Formats: sequence, structure tokens, C-alpha cells
Amino acid sequence: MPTRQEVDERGDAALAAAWFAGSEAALRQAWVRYGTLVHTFCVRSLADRELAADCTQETFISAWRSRQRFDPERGSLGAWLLGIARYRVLDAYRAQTRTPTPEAAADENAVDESDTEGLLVERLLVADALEALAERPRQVVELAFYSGLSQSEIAATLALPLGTVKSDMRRALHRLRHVLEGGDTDG
Amino acid sequence: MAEHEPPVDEPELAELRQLGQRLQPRDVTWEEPPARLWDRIAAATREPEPAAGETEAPPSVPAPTPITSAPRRRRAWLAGALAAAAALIVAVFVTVIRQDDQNVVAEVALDQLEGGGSGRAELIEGRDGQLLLRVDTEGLEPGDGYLELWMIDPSVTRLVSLGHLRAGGVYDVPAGVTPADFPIVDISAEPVDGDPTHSGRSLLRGQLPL
Repeated sequence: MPTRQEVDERGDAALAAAWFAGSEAALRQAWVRYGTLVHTFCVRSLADRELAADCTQETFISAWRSRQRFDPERGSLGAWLLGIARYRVLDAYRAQTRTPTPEAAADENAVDESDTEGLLVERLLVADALEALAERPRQVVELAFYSGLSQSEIAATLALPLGTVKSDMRRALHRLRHVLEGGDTDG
Repeated sequence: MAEHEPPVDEPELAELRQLGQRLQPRDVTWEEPPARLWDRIAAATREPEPAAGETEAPPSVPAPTPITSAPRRRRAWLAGALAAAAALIVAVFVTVIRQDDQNVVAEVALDQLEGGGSGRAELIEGRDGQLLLRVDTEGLEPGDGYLELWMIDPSVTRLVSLGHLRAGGVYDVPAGVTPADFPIVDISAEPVDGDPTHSGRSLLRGQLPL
């Protein structure tokens, strides 16, 4: 099974198109590409592993059944899937409310707060997109994210021409903006 | 984390830094979904397969449809649908063909996308060389509208209407339409709104192996 990292940006676009086309293989590809993304969202949002597994399963099934509502022009398939997963999480919350458990109530991840959910969606989408980048642009973006270095300092740190650092950043930013579109995110 | 002044002359860096600080994506620990989930998803989204017992391996799926072009704008899709309306006008009515006059070029069981119907499609070459599409369906619900038959290209940006669906219908493939370019057979539910474009509500769909 290919890893998520092996699916590059062009692969994501092809997958989005195949998904929209309703190719049955696209469901399998989407599972390989985004199963971990969706499942991580469900696990972090719901206190219970079984509920999270149901959430992941139902997200893919309902996403497939309404796949024609996905518009590759309007955003990424990952963001769209997480938008559906948010509804599945809300359903699970409602079911939990009927039978509240102390564990669920005590788990801060189980708090139904759309800001928390939206932030989690964005965090996962960006982390996922980062892992899908090739090694060099990924290093550039990680330094941009966390180091506080300027572009020329990043270039010096990675022993890269400044122009490479700049174009990597431009491309990565374009990619991240696209990735964050199309879901029910708050960004 | 270092807190330098935002580099105003480096807007891309500034935006990336803001994104990283706000979202902290490096804190993410991934959760692999249990393998059994795929089996359930596959089972729920496909017609039932013969019982194969417990298996860890995912059910085999056909090779992905090659997508040669990037997804086009929705408008292009609609423009294609409008062009299909012209094809509708030239679509020729039923030609009754006899078993011994035909040669089945390709056939496909149509996947159920919405509703409870089922169906299959056969591409047939008549003795005169005319290509025909024979479509048999069962249990389709047109709702308040009607059902329409389409041939669609693999990237789902171009489509040709073969007209409204008829019981036991055989449809001429319009001259000039190469089935290999439009291998996806699609049956949609169309509202009676005078709009000749595809409604987006596909009930059945399958790809002819061409």
C-alpha cells in the first residue's frame, strides 16, 4: 500500500478528479490517502475509539454517496472529507448526550466547540500537506513555521540559494491555502 | 519559539510563520485507522460480493481510471452539457435489432450511486457498423422528473446525452462519438425544468471496458 507521502500534489489533483468522476478505484485511493487524516480527526474529536472508528467509516461511506457534491475547483478533497467528518462527530455528540459518560465529559477533546473543531481541522490539514511535500520544501516550510529565521537565514541554514527558498515558500503557501479550502473550516 | 518582528518585506514567510504558530502542526500524532474499516466501507459502497470469509486483504478494485487532464472549471462541464443538448436533438430513435445482427463490443454492470435501482449496459455493433447502446434497468425511480442516459468521458468534463431512458431501450451512439472517448454510461434523474444539462443526480453509472 502506498504511503500518504508517496502521493504528491499532482496525485492529489488526479485523485480529486477521479473522485468527482465516481471511479470506484478513487474510493480506495481516497482511503489510502486520507484514511489516516480522517481517522485522526475522529479519534481526537471523540473520546471513544469505537465511536471514532464508526465516525471514520461513516464519513467515507456518506462522502462516497454524496461524492458529486465535491467540487475539485472549490477546495481539497481532504478538507471536504473533514467537513463531512465534523457532521459525523456532531452526530456522535448528540448520541452521547443521550447517554453521557463521565469519561467523555472529562475529556477536553470531547467538548463540542466549533472553534476547537475548526482549529483541529486546519492543524490536521496543514500537518498532512506538510508530510506530502518533498523533503527540501518541507524543511524550508518547517523553518518558516517555527524558527523565526528570515528567508536569507533559512537559505543559509539549509545551504540553498535564496531564490529556491522563496519559490519553495511561494509554492508551499499556495498549496496550503488550497488545502485549507473546501472544508467547513473557520480559517 | 523565536519571536522576531514579522518580516513585512517577506509576506510569504510572514504568512507561513503565522500559520505554523497558530496551528502547531508538528504536535499532530497520526492515528492509523483499523484495517477492518476498509472492508466495511467497501462492503457498504458496493453491491454485495460473494462471501469470501474473513480476510485482511482489501477486496481488489479495478485499476484507477487514468485522468489525463486537470479538473476543469465547472463552467466547462456545463458547456459540455450544453453541447450534449445538441446531441440529444440528433439522437436517433429506437432501432430494433435482432440477436443475429449484433456483436457485443463491451458490457458493464452499472453501479448504483443513488436510489435502489440496478442495470447494465452493452455496446453493440450492428451488422451495418452502427454502434448502439443497449441499457436494461430495474427499479429506477425518476421521482417527479424523468431519467436520462449519458455517455461521459473519463474526466467527467464532457458528456453526450443519448436521450431519455426507455424501457428495454436501444440507443444509437451518434456518429462522430467514439465510445472509447466517452466510456462512462450514466443514468441521471432529471427534473422537468427545461434545463438540458445533467442534473448532477446520477442514479447508475458504469464504465465500459474499452
